[in-house]
Amino acid sequence: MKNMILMFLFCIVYQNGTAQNYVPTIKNNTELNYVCKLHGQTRTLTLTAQTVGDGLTFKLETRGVKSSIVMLPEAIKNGTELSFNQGEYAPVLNLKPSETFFMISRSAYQDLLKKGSFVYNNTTYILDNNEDKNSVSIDGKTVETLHVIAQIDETEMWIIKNPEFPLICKIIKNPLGINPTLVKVTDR
Amino acid sequence: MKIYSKNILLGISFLFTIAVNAQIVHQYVDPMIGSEGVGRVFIGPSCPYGMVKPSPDCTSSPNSGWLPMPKEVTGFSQVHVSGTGGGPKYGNIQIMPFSGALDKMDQTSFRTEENVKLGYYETVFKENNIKTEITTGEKVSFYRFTYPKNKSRELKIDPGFFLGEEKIPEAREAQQFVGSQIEIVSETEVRGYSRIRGGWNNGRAYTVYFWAVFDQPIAKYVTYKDGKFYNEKAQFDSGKKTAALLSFGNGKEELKVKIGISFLSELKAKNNIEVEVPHWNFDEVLKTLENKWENLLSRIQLSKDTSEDYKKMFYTGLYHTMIMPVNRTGENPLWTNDEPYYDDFYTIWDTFRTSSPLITLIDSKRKVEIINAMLNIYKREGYLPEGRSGNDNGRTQGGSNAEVVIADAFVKNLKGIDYELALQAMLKDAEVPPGGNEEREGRGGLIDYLKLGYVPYGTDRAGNRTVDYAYNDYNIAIVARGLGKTDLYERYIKQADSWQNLWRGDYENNGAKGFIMPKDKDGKWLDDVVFGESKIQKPTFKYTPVIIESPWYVCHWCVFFYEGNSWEYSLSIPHDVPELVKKSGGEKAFESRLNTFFDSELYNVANEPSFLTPCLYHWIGKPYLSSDRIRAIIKRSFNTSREGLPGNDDSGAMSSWLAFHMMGLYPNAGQPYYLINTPFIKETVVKLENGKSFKITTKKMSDKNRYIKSALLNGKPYDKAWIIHDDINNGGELILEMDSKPSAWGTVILPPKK
Repeated sequence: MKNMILMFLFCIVYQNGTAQNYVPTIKNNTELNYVCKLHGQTRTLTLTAQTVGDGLTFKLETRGVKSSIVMLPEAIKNGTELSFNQGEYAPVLNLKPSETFFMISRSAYQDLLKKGSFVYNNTTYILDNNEDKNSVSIDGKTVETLHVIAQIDETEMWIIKNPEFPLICKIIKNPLGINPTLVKVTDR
Repeated sequence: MKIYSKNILLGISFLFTIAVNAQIVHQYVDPMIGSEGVGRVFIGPSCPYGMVKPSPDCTSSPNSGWLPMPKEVTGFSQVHVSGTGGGPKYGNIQIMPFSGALDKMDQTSFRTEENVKLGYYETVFKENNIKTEITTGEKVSFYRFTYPKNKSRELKIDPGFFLGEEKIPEAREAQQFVGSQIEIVSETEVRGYSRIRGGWNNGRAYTVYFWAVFDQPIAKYVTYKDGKFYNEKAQFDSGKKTAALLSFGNGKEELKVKIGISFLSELKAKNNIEVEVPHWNFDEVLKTLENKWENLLSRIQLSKDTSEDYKKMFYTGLYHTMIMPVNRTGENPLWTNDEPYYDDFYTIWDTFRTSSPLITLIDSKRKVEIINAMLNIYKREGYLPEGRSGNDNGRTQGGSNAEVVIADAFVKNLKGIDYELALQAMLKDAEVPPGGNEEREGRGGLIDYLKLGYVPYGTDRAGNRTVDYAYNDYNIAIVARGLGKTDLYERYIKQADSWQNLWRGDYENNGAKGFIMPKDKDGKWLDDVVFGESKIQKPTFKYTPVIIESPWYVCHWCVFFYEGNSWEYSLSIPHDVPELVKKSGGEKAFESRLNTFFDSELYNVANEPSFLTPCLYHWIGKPYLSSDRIRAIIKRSFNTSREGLPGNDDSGAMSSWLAFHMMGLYPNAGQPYYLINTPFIKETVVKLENGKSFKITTKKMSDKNRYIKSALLNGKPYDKAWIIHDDINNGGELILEMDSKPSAWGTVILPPKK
């Protein structure tokens, strides 16, 4: 009986040890697969990361659109807004120094950690401390995220707990109508 | 006796001539043309305008039910539509043969072969070697299953199935389950219904009742509800999916099944079988169907030397044109009267340009019935239909296009329509906002349109609504004038110029000047347009004449132009091409604009807004350039393959565009004339319902000799590259003499002006 209890405890400890939460990182050629719900329709979208120095380019592919969206190092560091243009105009879209794409800036992420909120596109996003909502499942793995809710518009976003690349892995209630969810991350 | 013999011989030779000239044509229909790729045509058997359209469903996702092999078959359901885009509709009362235990609902099978011809579908399943053959009546589908020797014969009947099922409860355009019921009535009969709502038109619930009869007794059965099997004979409707699995034992190999369908009741479905197919002769049902089609299709005869491919393309085009809308006369669950009832106007936005005028030409009595059904809907429900399906109006995409259909009938002098009532119905669209139902019927943005003369940006599809309403107002003006209502005419003929209020004359793109562009309520042109509904962020995208609808992330339904760009819609002014030419900078600039449009691939062969555009060279006195464009488009984008249609067939819209052009005629719907182009067929004879015939004959036509040099109408020189409907309807012959180079023919007397 004693052995059985010990075995049971071992199993619980082992389970906790192996169930470490997954934090995706962005490397050169990391492929991010999203499924977007928009205006009653569903479409897939792929971002392939290309890291050059401190900059980051996402090669975006979705039906009818192929574009490289270039984020500047200063945007990754201190950006204050998400780009709304999403690759429809040019094969290469150079974002403004203040613009990021599918991620928030490192400084915004730090604000979120320190102050429990950050401001992006003139919108204040407040950290939701409800633990039930602070993880997202991607490809069967639990990913640690920070869940934020926008004031006024009430958009909800889940941001991956990665201070280097605070990727947005899920959006709901987006008043702009596009709600992506990250479903798979592949490092190539 | 000598004289008698001579007469007999003459008589025999006359009969022989008729027999030779009147070819059997239905065998040229290939229901698979346009079934793959983007055409989405219905491939199963259907009577002309037939209510019942049985076909395999290859999962619940495809619009027409069918997908090519190797996709699996989920079953065979009895109601479908043809050529549609967006969320699927129907797919009701599914059956599926199988062999084995009555213990699972999923009887999905893969096909080893498939054989499809007009009125007939056949397949053999890989897993169990069961052969399924299908034909149909108007309201009764007929199945002949052949099971392998010594295998038990089972059949699933599943009224819980429907196309376009999604998990999201209120998903836009998705059909939603409401209820179903099933009962084993006797050893040879099963009845029940399927009640579904939603689908592309987001319509209210519709109910498809059925009565299935078998030529052999059921030996064993189970019924099904909500995931469980029962031994009871019936499963009542409790908002759950119901079904039955039946076994017919190991008797003979064949099993025949007739499924009567009704939109009124199960007993009416039974009655439909008794009235239409009281026997068990599969071949007789097929023969009856073939005769119905032959009667219609043979009204247009092509010269005997027409290539097999052209015959297939042409007659399949006619076939696709006449499978929708569907005749549900006597099956209207909404009100009782003796008038015709048609459904699945899917949508008039697609069909008004070519399908509707082609039905008028071939089957004008049917067209009168269809219009009377539309007027009946107006009388009972307050508005004319636009995208009606499942007994419910909706959705509107742009104009109130029933106006074009009515005006087309009026200017072509179709009898048997109450045009005073029709004008009232048109005026209702034009003057009474549908009060929150803009997506169902009437004209969205009407108040602004009447006040400002255009629909301002901010109202969904403001651009094409303005352009379409202007044409619909022209249609009203023409009918009003014909009925002697001068004041109304004056008002609406002015309103028909409304498209000019969105014409931005100084805007240049790709060398062309002047475009229909977005404008706000204050009259300000918008280069950057706001999207989304945020209270804080006001993101914009740059609107240019080459953007099709919008960038991908913006609501495609809420944009300025529906399914098109400004280049297309800025050329879509069918009632006032001369003014369009003028505004574009004159004939030379207009020709250059058209050339840029076609050469830079701004023209979209896959959709209806540009249907008339290849003919616009007629209005600058160069009809030969229209013919060149049409020839190139058809050679490049249409063929006899399964991918032989370049866009959604949209209830026959794409097919009828092709059929008209192959004859060398093209209607400007709502107006009483057809533009004349170089035909693809050497001789075409249209046998009109009034007993007369109109023949289009070409002389010396070849690939090289593709330009019209001169023409004779009933023996007299004819210099116009257009012909009025009455000239065709009165019978006669148009002879086109062809040459290897463009001529002055048709260059002086241009098509009619507004």
